[in-house]
Amino acid sequence: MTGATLPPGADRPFAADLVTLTKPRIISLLLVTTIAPMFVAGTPRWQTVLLVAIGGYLMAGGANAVNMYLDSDIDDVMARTRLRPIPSGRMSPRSVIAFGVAIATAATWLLAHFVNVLTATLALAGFYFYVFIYTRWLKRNSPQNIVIGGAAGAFPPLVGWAAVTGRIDLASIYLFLIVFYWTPPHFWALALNKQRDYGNAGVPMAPLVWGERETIEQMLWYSILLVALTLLPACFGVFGAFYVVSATVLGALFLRGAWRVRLERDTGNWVRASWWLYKYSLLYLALLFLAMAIDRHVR
Amino acid sequence: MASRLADVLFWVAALAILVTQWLILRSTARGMRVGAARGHAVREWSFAIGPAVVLLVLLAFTHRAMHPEQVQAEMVTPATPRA
Repeated sequence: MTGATLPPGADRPFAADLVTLTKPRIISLLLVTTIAPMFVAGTPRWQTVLLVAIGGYLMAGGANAVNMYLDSDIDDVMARTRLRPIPSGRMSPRSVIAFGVAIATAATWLLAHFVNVLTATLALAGFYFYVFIYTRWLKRNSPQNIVIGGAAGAFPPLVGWAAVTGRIDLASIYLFLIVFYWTPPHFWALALNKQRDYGNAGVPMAPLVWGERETIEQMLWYSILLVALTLLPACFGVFGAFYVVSATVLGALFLRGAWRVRLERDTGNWVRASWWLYKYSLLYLALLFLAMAIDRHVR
Repeated sequence: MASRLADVLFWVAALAILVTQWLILRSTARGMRVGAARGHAVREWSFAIGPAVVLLVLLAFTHRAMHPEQVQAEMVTPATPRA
């Protein structure tokens, strides 16, 4: 025994840490919202789908790695992020940012060279928005950080759409806004349960700044707005009956979840209800986008 | 989707969006009055109002997309000659 203290998870393979930097669980949902719109926009070649999936993963993974570099100071004081590669001492900040920039650069080249320039530009815009607008500016400065910052996570549908059509149109803007308006109730459901972490890190999340009451109130309003928004593309013929029924059923469950959090607000027992809403919101977005893709091919 | 049904769906969804957006703005105003939220009022208001404006524009474009024949008619109808 040497008595030397090893960093937590020091026996983890280096490759596993590189994968951790990309936040693969978050990216899996981003890929659903990237690829499903490709099948809404048309009938993409499988090579294009594969290239967009790889490019999308690398771009989002690069943004997540740069985010871990920029947030390494607060990751160290938050329980759920303390074991990330930088705060645990397994990787140096310099190697993390180098990795993030390298894979984002590779993604830009891949998408521009093999798909089209618009797709690469939109993916890169998402990268910059996430790194500079959300992480560097909004996250530590505004209780509406994830309202406006939610736009970063809304770029993937535009990327998928542009990869197939080479342009952006009204339907694709709807897909962007659906993810944009999905973000506040999704993220605040998590933030409600992680207030101590965010408080320790000095991140002004809405529940800490506005209070739980207003945050829960807004979660309900955003949920209603989201469900209404999901139905509008059917009005001008983008989607048919299968999608309308799916969006209505999925939306009704979302509203029920948000309403349960609102009901429990005054009793203070909203923990279970908000956890349920957080988990369901992940499933909701994946199933909604899946329904979009299926609808276009069963009509 | 049948035109009549699409119109009903549009106006119901548009109404829900306008009402909830107004409620969001009202709730934001209440939240900003809380001590911890004071400061940077202009920035916070622009974050709240910006998406609402985008939604209004989107609803207008959606209505145009639902009724292309109206837009077409407006474009081809010659201006009324002045007396």
